Amino acid sequence: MIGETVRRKEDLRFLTGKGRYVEDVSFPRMAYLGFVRSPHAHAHIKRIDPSDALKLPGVIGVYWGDSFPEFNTTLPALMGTASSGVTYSDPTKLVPHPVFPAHVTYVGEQVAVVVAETPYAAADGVEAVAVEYDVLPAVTEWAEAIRPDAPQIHAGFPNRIARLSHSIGNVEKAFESADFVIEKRFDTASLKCIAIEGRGVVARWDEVTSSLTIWSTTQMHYATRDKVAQTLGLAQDQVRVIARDIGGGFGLKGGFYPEDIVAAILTWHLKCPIKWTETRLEHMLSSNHSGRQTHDVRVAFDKNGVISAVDLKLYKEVGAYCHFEMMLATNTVNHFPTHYKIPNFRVEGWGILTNTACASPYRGAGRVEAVFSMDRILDAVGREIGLDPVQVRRRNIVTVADMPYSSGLIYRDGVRVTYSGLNFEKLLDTALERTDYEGWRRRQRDWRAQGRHVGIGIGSYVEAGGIGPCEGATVSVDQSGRVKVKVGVNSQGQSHETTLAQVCASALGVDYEMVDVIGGDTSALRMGFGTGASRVAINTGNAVHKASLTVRRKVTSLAAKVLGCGEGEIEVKNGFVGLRGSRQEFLSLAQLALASQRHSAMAPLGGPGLESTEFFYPATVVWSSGVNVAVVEVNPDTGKVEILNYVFVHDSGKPLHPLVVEGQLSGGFAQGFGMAMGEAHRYDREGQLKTATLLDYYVPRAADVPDVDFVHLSFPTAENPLGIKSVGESGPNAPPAALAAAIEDALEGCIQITELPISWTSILKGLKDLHARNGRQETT
Amino acid sequence: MSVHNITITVNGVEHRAEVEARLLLVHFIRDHLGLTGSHIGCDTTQCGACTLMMDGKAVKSCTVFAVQADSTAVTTIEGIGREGHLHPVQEAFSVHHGLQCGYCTPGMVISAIQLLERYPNADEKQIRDQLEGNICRCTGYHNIVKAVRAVAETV
Repeated sequence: MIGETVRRKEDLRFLTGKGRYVEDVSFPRMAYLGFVRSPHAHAHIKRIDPSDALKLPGVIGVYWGDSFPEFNTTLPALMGTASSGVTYSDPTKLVPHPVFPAHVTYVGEQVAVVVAETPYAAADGVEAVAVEYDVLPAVTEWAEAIRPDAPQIHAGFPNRIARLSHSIGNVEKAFESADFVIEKRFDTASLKCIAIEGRGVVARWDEVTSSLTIWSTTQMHYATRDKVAQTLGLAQDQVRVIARDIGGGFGLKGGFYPEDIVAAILTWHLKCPIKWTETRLEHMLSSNHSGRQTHDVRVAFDKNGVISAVDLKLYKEVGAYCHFEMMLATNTVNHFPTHYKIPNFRVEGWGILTNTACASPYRGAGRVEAVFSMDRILDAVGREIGLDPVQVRRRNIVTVADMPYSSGLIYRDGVRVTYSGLNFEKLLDTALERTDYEGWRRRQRDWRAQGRHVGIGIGSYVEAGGIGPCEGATVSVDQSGRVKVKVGVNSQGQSHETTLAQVCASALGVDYEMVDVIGGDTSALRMGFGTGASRVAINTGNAVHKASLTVRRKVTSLAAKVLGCGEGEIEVKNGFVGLRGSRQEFLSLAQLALASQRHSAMAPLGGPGLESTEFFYPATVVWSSGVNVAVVEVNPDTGKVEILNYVFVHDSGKPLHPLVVEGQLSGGFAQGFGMAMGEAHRYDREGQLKTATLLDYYVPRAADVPDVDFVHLSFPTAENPLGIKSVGESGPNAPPAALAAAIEDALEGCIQITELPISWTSILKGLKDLHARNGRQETT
Repeated sequence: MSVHNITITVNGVEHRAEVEARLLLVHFIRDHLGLTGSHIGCDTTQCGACTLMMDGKAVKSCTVFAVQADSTAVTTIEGIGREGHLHPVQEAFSVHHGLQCGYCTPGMVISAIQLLERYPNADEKQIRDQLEGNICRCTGYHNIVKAVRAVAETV
């Protein structure tokens, strides 16, 4: 059952249009919200005049700032993902983030809200609200924001709002004695998640029961529950947050957004159900983005290409508020070495405010930036001394003999980073063999003579997954024999209803068809910590496993009493209890569940019912890893890049469901591909968003994404009872590095790719230089 | 804003309604008829999540006014297969894991049905080209292409 490719339980409703996404939730007398948003990146609000809006048919009211006392609250930072131990960050004073700020700090920030009887009336109302602004100078790039004469974005807070630092070994000494030192700057553009479903919320206050129900697209439904309860002075169990069918999240639905609080406050005051869903334009303007990141790197190495030191300065644009402190940069630091040894490593990094929407984790969450730098550094080292990129990697790689290997890094849960049971050489060898690296090099030599530009590039990643604090599950057998698994996380497409059912079926001894998984509902389980950081399979998977085993023990104990035998004689299989040996007597779990209601044997077993709630606390993160090899051809006339071959070798531990694992890699790969080939969320100097629609922001289409050859390895881990690892954020990490390296190789060093996305104009320039070097006649 | 009487047959059932001129077909289908299987994912006709059949042609219903659909026959995802009797494209999507969050899926299925009507033996390149108008962010298209190819091969 575990490790089988079973049909997904989610598929039937999604394929027939019967999913219930937030926009599908409807109630009589529902009112709709439209947000008036700032057209300026930095401004004080002088005056809001709703009078024209209030005259429009269907408009119920216009609210802002002090319309209701509950609006005077602060959005919570670090949405339940706070690091619990020693991290690299200096203590940080965070800017309070009001729901309706009087001081606007990004284009698209909410200024007022229109409540109307229909969504079209709400949109009409938004256009009719008149707002006067005192426009202030905006700053949208970190280099501008840290200048001494830069406008201060928030009074009382420096633009350089957060700092981290860490040091391993003696970097200065290593640089002094190095044979070679190179310096590079790497820059990665900010990205939007572009989940096909935007954010949304429905909030409904029930006067009779004094309870509030919220349907949300959030990835953090318990944090939403707690913040809303706190804001309205309600008990936690008076607020129920349902976050079930969600159309993609990728991390960015994990932030806490003002609209979630506004909808809750409005339903409470206006006593009617409230709905809001964002348009794609609103998504581009006001939903979070990943945050541009720049690395200034100095690398010391010897004449054999062995790296002795890396000195890293890291600049992270965090947007107008610093919700996630230095979490993303910390991830970058802890993933930076990937498969390689950096005996002396020093990093200093800053989170820098800009007049843009807020930055928050997007699939990879700092890992991709780390991989891009490390692989580009290795390729640069190789180029400097004339060494093949494979050889450079072999000379710096952490070998099996080196493990368990602690580099001196400390994960954000406070535990030292340790690689154990991993085999980076095997990943590299497998990838090179699968792609036939030697064959491509031979063909490359021949094709170069014919004027074809073909290149090969390597990307190597690690992914830490399964961070705590914990996750739980309640497993119970119903009197019908169906098994309910209630969990504290929710799915945005990761197939939890399927994989967690597989785990339960295996551990409990029932058929997969009989298991129903319920997540994404704060009334299902008392606590959960969110879907993100590739933590669900490990945490919730093992909690389901634990709870299923406990129920199985109850089943065995009760059955032994009912059948009058020893517990060792009991067998549980396919939802039935039987006896080992010749005695042919069976009980169904349904019968046992009924029996458990009144049987005294349940007294020491926790009371009536075949039910158990267990929580799994991981010791620390578990490491997945992989190697990608890309072979590309650059068209000599157009500069268009065609991918001739792409091999993706990975270890994600024991797969719960092989096709789900491959699906996660495939989707992640497409996002990494997009990051390399054109995705960029960009603002102009005044803070106007230049990529506000899907016409301007590139998203890979079916015709763009190449066929990928996935090779699945499985390095065993004993770090959790199920022996599993994560895969959610493995896909996007290596493609940008592999593709950049391949394009550079194709253009024989006439291009140096240090920025993402890779620009077509730089490819064209590289082509021109290459042709000039080769003496090829150009036709213009 | 002018108001118009329209008659649209949806999944075989005739509906008469009075609608504003500016009402989008996708909003009519979702909010007036309660058929929420067609989804909205963008505002520039890029993503294809709203794709449905109108008089046999796959169209993006966010870019059609309800009044333009007057006197037409529309088929939404709710009119394609049902539990126990899935359309071969729906079945193939499930077998090959061509969906994850499910949000782009109804539009993707309708586009796939249309492309197979036009190119019954579509190869991988044709499938990828024909699905250019449907964006998926979860699957990376790998298994969507596999699923459609599997149906093409059975023809």
